[in-house]
Amino acid sequence: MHETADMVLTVDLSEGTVHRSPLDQSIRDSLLGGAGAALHLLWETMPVGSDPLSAESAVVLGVGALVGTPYPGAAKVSAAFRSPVLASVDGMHWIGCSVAGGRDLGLALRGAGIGYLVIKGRSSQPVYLSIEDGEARLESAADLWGRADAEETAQVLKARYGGAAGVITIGPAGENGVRFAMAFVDQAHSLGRGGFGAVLGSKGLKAVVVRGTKGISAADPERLLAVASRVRDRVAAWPGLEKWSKLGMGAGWSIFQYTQYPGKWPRSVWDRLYGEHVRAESVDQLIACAACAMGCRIKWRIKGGRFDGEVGHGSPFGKSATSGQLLDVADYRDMLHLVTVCNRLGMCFYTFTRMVDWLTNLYRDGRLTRGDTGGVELRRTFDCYEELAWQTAKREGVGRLIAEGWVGVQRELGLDPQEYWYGGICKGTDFIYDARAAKVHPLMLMFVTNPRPHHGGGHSLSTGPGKTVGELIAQMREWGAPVERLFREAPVPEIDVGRCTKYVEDAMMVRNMLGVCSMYSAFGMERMGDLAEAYAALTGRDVGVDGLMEAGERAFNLKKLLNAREGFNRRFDAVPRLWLRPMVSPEGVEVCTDYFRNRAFGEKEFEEALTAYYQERGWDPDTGLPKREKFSQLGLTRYL
Amino acid sequence: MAQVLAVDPRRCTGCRTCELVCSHAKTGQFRPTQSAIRRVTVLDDLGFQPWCCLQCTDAECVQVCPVQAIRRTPEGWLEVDPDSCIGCSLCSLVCPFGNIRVIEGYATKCDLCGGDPLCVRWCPRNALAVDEAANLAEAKAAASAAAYRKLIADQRGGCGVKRVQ
Ligand code: SF4
Ligand code: SF4
Ligand code: SF4
Repeated sequence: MHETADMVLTVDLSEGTVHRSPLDQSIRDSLLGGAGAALHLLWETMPVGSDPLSAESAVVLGVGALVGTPYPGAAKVSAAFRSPVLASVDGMHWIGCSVAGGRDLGLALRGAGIGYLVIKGRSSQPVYLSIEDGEARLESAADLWGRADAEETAQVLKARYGGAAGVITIGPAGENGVRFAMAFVDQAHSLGRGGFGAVLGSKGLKAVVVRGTKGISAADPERLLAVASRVRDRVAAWPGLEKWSKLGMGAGWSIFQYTQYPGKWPRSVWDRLYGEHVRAESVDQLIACAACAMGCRIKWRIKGGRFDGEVGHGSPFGKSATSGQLLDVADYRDMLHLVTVCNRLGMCFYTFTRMVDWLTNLYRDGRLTRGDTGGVELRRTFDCYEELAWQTAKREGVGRLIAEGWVGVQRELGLDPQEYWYGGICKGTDFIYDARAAKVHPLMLMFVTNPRPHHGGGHSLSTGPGKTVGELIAQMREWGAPVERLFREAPVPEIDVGRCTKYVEDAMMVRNMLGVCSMYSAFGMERMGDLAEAYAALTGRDVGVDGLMEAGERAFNLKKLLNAREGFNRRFDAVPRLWLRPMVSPEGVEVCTDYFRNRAFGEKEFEEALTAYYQERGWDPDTGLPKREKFSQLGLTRYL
Repeated sequence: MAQVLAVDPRRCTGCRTCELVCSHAKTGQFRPTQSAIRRVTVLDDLGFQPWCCLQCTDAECVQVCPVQAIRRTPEGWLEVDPDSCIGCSLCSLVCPFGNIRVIEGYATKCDLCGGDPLCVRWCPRNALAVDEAANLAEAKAAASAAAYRKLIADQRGGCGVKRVQ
């Protein structure tokens, strides 16, 4: 076992103190690492019902168990936190676990001998946390706070601590408590949809920078390298690799133009304005996470137009194509610029652009007036959108309103966010997919069932479009799921989406505990057996696929429990009303159907799917909450 | 002829797989900061540059070493003999490229893994290759000559000969 994996560094920003303690071994054995152990530490640290932006709220970062090895995509760090997003008008806040990759952060934390970072309290002066080989210090961030955006802060700190230092940074949106502010890892990876950046900002913490020189030893390194090679061989044999290596995630347009279609423009127009050719001309270079054999991020360089030559990093194509159509922006280069602006300001592009779409349309229709916007005109022009981004991040003008998020606007002006026409909203959080376009498969239902309404890296073969029932069954069988109960092959193939969602969520949690990317499993290059073998080779603990899946279930139940303790129940797992209405598009009418598009999915079908989900989880279908037996079965009674 | 590790920054994604496997071979641990090859990050526009010993013909590290611990193998690359190395860091101070460092008492640098480098095998993007420098130069000359011809053709509508109207 590697000696450094379990060290917990606790930083109290109010006291200015730093404390190291080893993680309880029973927690490591039952929750594996990463997201699992981070949720446990959050449970121990954060008082029930605390304001997410107060000193008593806490965040916990957890490095995935396989991070620091050459296992493909083993780079993920999870962040458990209470979201400042208003989940309801009476001020509920969900608790979730977000995950980010990165080239350097995970390796640097490993190198510093830190497995978990607990951050609580609030600093009276802006600071950043530096960790060097386990020595942690709070340094003044006076030169960065209010001056440097998320990107500039990362550049300054990498220049100060070396290019291989891992960094987490926030921009002005995080400093100013924008409820959907995010943090950024190593410049190209976003962390914490749902306001993680605002939580760091509320603590006066501008950044975390880490470097360290320690190494990790595997119990059986040869076996670990052999599993890693096996997965890499499947990547090398993947027919999509050639296109992928030119475009990164941008290679997915042929699927994306169906699954993320907002239904405003004819698809041919969308393809002409945002299709593959615009991706090919902007990609400058691929950017990968540590140990990733693919690399899905890019550095882009805008060719021509008003922003000619502007460079940005991340994964811009999908989100800019969808929001470009929503906002009627015909020039994709303008939207690439808006992605850069949101990244630098440190806020969620999805939430921002959709709220702007919502509000500017209401303004156009006369349902929102200058009296509501503090005199600001909400025009549907690109220049106005960009201006709104700055106002939001700085909480100036109408930005004060937008910064409060969907339910904040509802509280202030009485407008119902459920009326917004694309995606869907649950627990105050907008979804990045709309099930009417993507159809109802487990990834969609997870937006509703996950306490944090996000897919959370739930990608797998069973959540991609266009798979045969045989492929889905094979993957679920490998996870040890009771496939007889989950699928029917004839006369027409059917999947029980509610029951399947449980297994997809548990498998997602396994990957977030081990800190591996979901991309490999989404393309069928990785099986759960590979993960079990890699974990055994690293730690010497051979728990098998069953052991991993049980740990995944345990951690997911713990996440649920954290939310149940706040008062969340089935009432909050509400399918967006939007999904029950048809989407009328130039291509025809899109409605929710089952995965195979054989039958419509209406209110009754969704309710049945949710009930089946709770039953498969062993939870009470009336309350949507875990039952006592479940806790004993999973060894979670200490949390009762 | 001397073999070198050729690096192509345009292909590098910055994934550090090379550092992980190299450090494991050299130290028995996954310890990227102690790898002989390094992925250097160029900060101003976020670019990645794999960086590694060039097996210099007239190597400063060899000349400065007071105990002759760095020796050329029959195949032509340079290796450090850990039994002779006294960890004085002189090699590290004189290497013009920062490619040799003293780690836990011994000089560590790329020794091409005895001719079949792990980083080349593991790099997922073929950003690394090992070959004789002369061959690499030959290949590069051929590629740039072809590119030049194409440029000229595009500009003049012919193979470098300007057409008289
Ligand atoms: S596929 Fe993308 S997110 Fe996944 S590990 Fe590779 S670079 Fe990171
Ligand atoms: S260590 Fe430096 S000086 Fe010595 S051969 Fe390599 S590049 Fe040249
Ligand atoms: S393994 Fe290849 S792509 Fe990855 S950092 Fe090294 S040289 Fe670059």
